[in-house]
Amino acid sequence: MTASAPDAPEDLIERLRAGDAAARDALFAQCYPDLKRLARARLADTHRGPSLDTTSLVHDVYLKLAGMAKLPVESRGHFMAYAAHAMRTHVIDIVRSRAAEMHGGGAPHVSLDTDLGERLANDETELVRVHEALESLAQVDARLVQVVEMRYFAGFTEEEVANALGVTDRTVRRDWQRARALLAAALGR
Amino acid sequence: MAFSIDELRTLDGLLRQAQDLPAPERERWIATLPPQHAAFLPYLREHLRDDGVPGVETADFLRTLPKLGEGGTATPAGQPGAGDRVGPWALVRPLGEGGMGTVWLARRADGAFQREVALKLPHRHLLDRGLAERMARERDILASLNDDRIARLYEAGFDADGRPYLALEFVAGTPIDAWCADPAVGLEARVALMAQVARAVAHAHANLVVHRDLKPGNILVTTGGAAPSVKLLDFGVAKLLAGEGEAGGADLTRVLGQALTPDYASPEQVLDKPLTTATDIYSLGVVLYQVACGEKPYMLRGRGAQAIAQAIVEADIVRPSRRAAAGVRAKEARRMRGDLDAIILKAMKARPEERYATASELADDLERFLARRPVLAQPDSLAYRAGRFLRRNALAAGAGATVAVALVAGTGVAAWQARQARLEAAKTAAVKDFLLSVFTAGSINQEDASLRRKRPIADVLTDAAKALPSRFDDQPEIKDELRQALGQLLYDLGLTAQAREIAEARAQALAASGAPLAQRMRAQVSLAMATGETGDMKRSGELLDAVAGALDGASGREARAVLGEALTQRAMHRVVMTGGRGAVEDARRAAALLRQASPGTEAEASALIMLGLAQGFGGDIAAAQAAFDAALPIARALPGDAAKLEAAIHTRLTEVLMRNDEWARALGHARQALAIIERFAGGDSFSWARTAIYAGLLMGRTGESAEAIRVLEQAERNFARFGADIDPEFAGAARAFLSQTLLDHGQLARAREVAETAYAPFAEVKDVATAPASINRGASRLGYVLQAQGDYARSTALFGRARAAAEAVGGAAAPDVLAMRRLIALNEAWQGRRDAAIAELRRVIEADRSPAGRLATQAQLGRLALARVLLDAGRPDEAGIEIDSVAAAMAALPASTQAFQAPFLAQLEGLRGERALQRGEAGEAVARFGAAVERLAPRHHPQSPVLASARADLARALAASGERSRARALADEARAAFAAAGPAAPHLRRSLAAADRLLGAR
Repeated sequence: MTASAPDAPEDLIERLRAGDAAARDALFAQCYPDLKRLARARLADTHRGPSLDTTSLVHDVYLKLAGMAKLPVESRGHFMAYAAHAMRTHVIDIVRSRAAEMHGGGAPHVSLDTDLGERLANDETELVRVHEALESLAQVDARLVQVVEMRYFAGFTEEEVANALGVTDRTVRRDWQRARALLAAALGR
Repeated sequence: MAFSIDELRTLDGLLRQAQDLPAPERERWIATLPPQHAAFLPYLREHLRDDGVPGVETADFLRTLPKLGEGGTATPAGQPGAGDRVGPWALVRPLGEGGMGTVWLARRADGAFQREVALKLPHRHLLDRGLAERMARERDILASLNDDRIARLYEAGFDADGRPYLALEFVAGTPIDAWCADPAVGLEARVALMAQVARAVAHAHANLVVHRDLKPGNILVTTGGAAPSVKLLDFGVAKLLAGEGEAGGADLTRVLGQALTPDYASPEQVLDKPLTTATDIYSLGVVLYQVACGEKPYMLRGRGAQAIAQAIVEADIVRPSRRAAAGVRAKEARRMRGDLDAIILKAMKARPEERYATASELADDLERFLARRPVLAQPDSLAYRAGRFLRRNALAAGAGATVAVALVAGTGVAAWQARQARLEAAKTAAVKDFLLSVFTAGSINQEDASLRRKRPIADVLTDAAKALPSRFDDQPEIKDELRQALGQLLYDLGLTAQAREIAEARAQALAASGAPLAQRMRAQVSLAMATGETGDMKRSGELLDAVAGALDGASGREARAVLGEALTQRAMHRVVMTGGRGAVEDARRAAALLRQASPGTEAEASALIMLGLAQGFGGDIAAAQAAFDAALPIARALPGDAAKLEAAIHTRLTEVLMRNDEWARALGHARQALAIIERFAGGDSFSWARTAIYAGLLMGRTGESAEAIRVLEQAERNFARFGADIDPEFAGAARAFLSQTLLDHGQLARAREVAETAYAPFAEVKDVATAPASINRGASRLGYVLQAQGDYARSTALFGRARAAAEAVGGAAAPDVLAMRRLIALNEAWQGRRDAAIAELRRVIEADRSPAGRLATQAQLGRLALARVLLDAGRPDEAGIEIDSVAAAMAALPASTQAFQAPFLAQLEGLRGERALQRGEAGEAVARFGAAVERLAPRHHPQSPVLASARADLARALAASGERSRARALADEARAAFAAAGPAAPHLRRSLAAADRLLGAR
């Protein structure tokens, strides 16, 4: 390892100040492990309300980053969208890897159960189907995908989504309504 | 997917319009929408209801993310104290406390057990719902570890409060790092201890238990006996607590908190990847490093998780001898330099497949080091790395070709040919240099180099094979090594003639030089395989027989391993050539030999897979399943290609179950295989398509015809991508099943188009014996479609060609021959020559030699056809004899088997209906025809001509029993189906004509 790695935060911040959007993305990507943990916690959480903890934790992650990088204010919305997307990605990864393990993929030793294949839980199937249906939704209205990621996968409130996307609460509410109706239709629900 | 993208856009437009309206006006607006929007109405109504009230949602859909039950609840537990009871145990004094839980010295409260135990009480927050189940299942496996060097797990259970505990053997010892820190303990003594540790780990691995948290604190040294000995703690405990779905290392760290120190963690553990035995080998390497030179390979304290991961994954580790030279063990540095360095660095390779394949190999090398013999581990060099590069690329290029040949042979040779695709670990530097020189020869400038990079690997190897005979004449061993390596590579690339040539030269040279028997015979096995691949199966069989004869009764470990591999090959040979006679015996012997001589290797897994295949083809599914089950853990524990072997096992199971009519289970395994392949090779790969052929066929049979069409079309596309690089057989198979499924789906024109494409390459082939399987399948498939379209004459010609091809392979009594004769007879009958057809069908039934107790044999299918023709001829009583005979055979079968014979059953019910109708029993006819429609409907698209014909039959029966309006409705449905499906054959349509006549022509 060398000190002059191209993705060192100091370098990224310099480039960000110079207006390099790729640097911003790379900077956000450094929060990915934290976001991964959040996604995991969100899936595991059985008691606490879904939105409160996760969002405040996302904020913490952001503040940490912002403090370090002195990010411009408008980056916050981008970060929220990035965080939600990262969480969607990771939630789906978790579900898929669990499914793969049930199909005999992982778990190299001990416990062999060849009939686990059928046991992919309904909830997990739904998650993956929603994830896949979002591909269709993206072709109808890309913003709806962001709204679904923020509300469903990341658990943000309407207000937070509105702030992040720079639209009104009412718009978010209407988007969310449309998104749910379209997803339900796409899934044949 | 219920709606297309365009439909979703339309719905989106409607939703926006509705949102713009005040809520009370919406319902009225919805009611005015034109009928083509009818399908959207539920969504417009359901999802717009709750607006206006922020945060309130009436529908449940998407309200919250589902919970997947990871992790657990964090309820604090009461602290245990001395004298407390936990289950049957009484706590004596605390031994320690860590992130995982507390450990107490304990003894049985009831005195039933004298010894003291170390009782582990995991923290509550580590627990989740699955723990009890896992403890019950794994306790037995862990308790079975019977090795003096491994602390026993006596008991794992829950006390009355539901608190879990693990009772482990209590060991009074010193952690190995502390023990070895004593300057008086010499290098040889320390390495000898580590060799013991490696042996103990090998024992656990052989019992399918991985430690996953090896560190000095878990390796104690005791001095009770004459010499110091080691004791390993906590085997499998990490796994027990972390659980099934959390194979990854980061999970483990999360679950165990501080307990799992990253100091000894492997890269895959840090990167959250699946863990295997290779993980333990890495950790052993780290401990060995520390024990040897007195320092850890890298310092990780006080660093963030990301930095630790990076350090472990990228660490360019300083050779232990160098670290020693600068530290307290300076005097021993010289002894470490070279071999011990190489051993430790090999164990600590970042890529699991580059480490020692087994803990036993590591122990062997440590013992060789102590005995001052040459070790297996080799220091890295440019040539070494280039050699690896070459091998990896050869593998990627070779897999397709080998698999292609496997399917042509009609069986699954691929499973263990994937094993052949890896070269043995040890190679001399000369070999690598030679390969490297072939690879880079002539590169004098950048342009040359860039041209060279584009050279196909096959060309490079062919050149190498040409260059070899003139080289290394004074170094026969190196020449042999090279021949072996090149032969293997050529074989993997499907350059079989060249592979055979080089294998031949190698076998001769070894025989002339008087090499050891095992070595000569191993070369002969390779030669037999290459020979078989060139199509000379007879010679291949002779070679294998010779090896089996020469090694029969041999006692050396190596000789027995070679015999095992030869018998595996011969079992395959027998399945292919003699329909499996003697294959089970060979495979069983092979598995037993390899279990002893080289347990846990790909060779053993291959023998077990072969055994499963042979038993499955012999009809013993339970035994086959057991063999595959035994192969699976071995395959999974293998480094590198485990997923491929695993997928191969599922595919083999699919084949076996298909052959025995177990459609549903076969489909389950096909899906598992596809899921694995999709992960490691992608959904657009050759391997995926190959397995998708089975899945598509099975989906078609179990009624998921739309899904089957999707899968088969994807398979066909994948094959097309490879073009001339793969055997056309694959695309042919995909098209054949696709055509069949399209036929069931009522898409006659498309079915015909696909069948014509599949058959086209063989239409002009003069001698059917040149490609009998392809001609048989292509011609018969097209014949079916033409029969359904009513082109009886051309259909008969094609069936005749298929028959000739089948006869060339299997003789006159082969099932395919009889099937074609039956289909030709039916064509004859439908062209009015019923008596000839009846006579021929009786001969077909007579000729069938299928075993009793199987469904859809040629005899039974022949009887159904005969009954059909007899009924057409107005001879219901004679038809009844055939129908009753088939029905009796059917009734003897288990219901689970019957369920997947819907077409067969539907045919039977249809014939019963016809008989009843001709006898004037209209009520019975309604019931039977109704049952036929019920059987067909789930499997067939509404516009399938077969289903339409069955509906028309039912309409006739209903008309005869006076239910004219229902009859008319069914006749209309049938008419609509025929109109949509395109021109269908007279024999399919005539029932509708008859129904129309009964109902009064319209």
